[in-house]
Amino acid sequence: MTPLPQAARSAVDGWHPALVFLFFAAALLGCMVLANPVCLMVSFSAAGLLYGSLRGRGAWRFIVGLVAVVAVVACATPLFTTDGATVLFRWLGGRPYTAEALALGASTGLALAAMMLWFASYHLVMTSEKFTFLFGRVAPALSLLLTMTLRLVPAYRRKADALLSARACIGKGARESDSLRERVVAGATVLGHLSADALEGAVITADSLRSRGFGLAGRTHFGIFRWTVRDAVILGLLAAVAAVSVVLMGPWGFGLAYFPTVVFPAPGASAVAGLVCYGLFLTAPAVANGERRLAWRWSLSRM
Amino acid sequence: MSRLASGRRAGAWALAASVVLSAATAAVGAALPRVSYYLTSTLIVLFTLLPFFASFEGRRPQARELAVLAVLTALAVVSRAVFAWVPHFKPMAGIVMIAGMAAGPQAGFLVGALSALTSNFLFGQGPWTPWQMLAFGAAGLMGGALTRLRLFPREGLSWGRRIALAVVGYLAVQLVVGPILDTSTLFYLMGSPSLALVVAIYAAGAPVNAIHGTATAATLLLAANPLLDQLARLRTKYGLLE
Repeated sequence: MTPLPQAARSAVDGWHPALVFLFFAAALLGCMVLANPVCLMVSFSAAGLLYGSLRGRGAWRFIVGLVAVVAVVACATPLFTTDGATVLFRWLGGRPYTAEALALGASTGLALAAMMLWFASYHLVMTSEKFTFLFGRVAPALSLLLTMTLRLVPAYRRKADALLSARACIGKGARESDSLRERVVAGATVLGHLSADALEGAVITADSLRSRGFGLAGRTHFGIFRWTVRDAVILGLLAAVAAVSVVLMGPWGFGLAYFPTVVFPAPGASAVAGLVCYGLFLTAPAVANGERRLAWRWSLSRM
Repeated sequence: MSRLASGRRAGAWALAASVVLSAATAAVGAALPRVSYYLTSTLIVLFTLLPFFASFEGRRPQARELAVLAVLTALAVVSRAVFAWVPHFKPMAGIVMIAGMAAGPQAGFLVGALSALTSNFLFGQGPWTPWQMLAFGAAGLMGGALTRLRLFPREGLSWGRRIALAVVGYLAVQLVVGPILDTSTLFYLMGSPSLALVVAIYAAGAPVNAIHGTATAATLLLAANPLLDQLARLRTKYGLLE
């Protein structure tokens, strides 16, 4: 929703929405299924790279916040899970706080943080118009509903602000000194005014839709996005790399046994190769973004 | 009539598909111990949402119905801004319940689910999105059930009934909407099954849900009558929401 300078120029922005959606779905699926901590680290780093390539310096604050999320989840998990052979210390009348539960918590937290980081980039790239374009053919009524809602929300917010300030002008605005009850009643009053206006407007909108031929047979779907050869090539490459990475990693990628002791199988040569492929897959959009930026810099330097 | 019938047919097919898919997902999730709990549970949530969307889509709704539902959804999303002066006041569940009371259980579910989706388009999607859609959809569904089962009239609620409605709204949030949201937290924090974690998450959620429930009750108490009367006016004037 918010126009960001880097996001507007990013290469991923030019990818077809279906491709973008598939990529993010696969990346999120990876966070949930490939639960080996090494895979999660790769996923988190790749998500960080992509988010950085979209947001620039502004990305750091969010990423550091996510590291705190990992720490909290890691430290909290042993409070609820007492399994594990290595007791670090006992608390609350002998309840064990184990290293294994701590490790499990760290990996759960890492998976959660990686998912949140992927979603943060998804939010910037997969804007609402791409989402409604993508589902417009499968679910035309629902995506029209969503499109209308997304337009109405900012309009109503402006109208609500206008109502609030108009009421403030005649001395009926909410004040710091008001009690909680007065504030709630004031809010409900504004809501009532807003809805009265909005509902009447809805019927007018609907009639205007009808008079322009809404729902008539033979109307086609219009979208500004075109599936190009480049999208097909990217999709083919990404799918191939993803498939190869899963096959090579095999069961190694699916996670560890944490209890009673952590068993971390050393990755064999094929697992390492699979991990590299996984990294290549996940960093593809960040690389595409970075490549575009480098090309831009280079073109500037030649001027 | 045929629209309604085709909507029902699409809904029934989607319901059957959803039951089969959910059962298969649960079986696969149980059989493969390393598949994440979050993945299994979220897929089941998505399959639960499916029949509602399919039956709405299959009915080929008219422009007026779409417009009214869009307005109700947008009002539910914006309502938070109207109460900006009241700290921690989340009126969305209350507005969604009112929408359900006027428009019926199915439309109520749709308004709730789309409100959650839309507000996440503004504030950020996350692993919680499908769960919020289910939770607020359930609020709309319950609102619709209240009038469908003739427990409450669709307009002109007396004082006594408004208080009863507020109590129902509080309980709906405390016992259904809130716990569904807490369950999502549980599943993405649960690395291994642990009763202590389950107890801790629901216990930590209870006071938050109590505040949410109180806000919902206050919204219903104050906004139910004005909004329901406006919707009733739409019904008599334009023949909508029959």
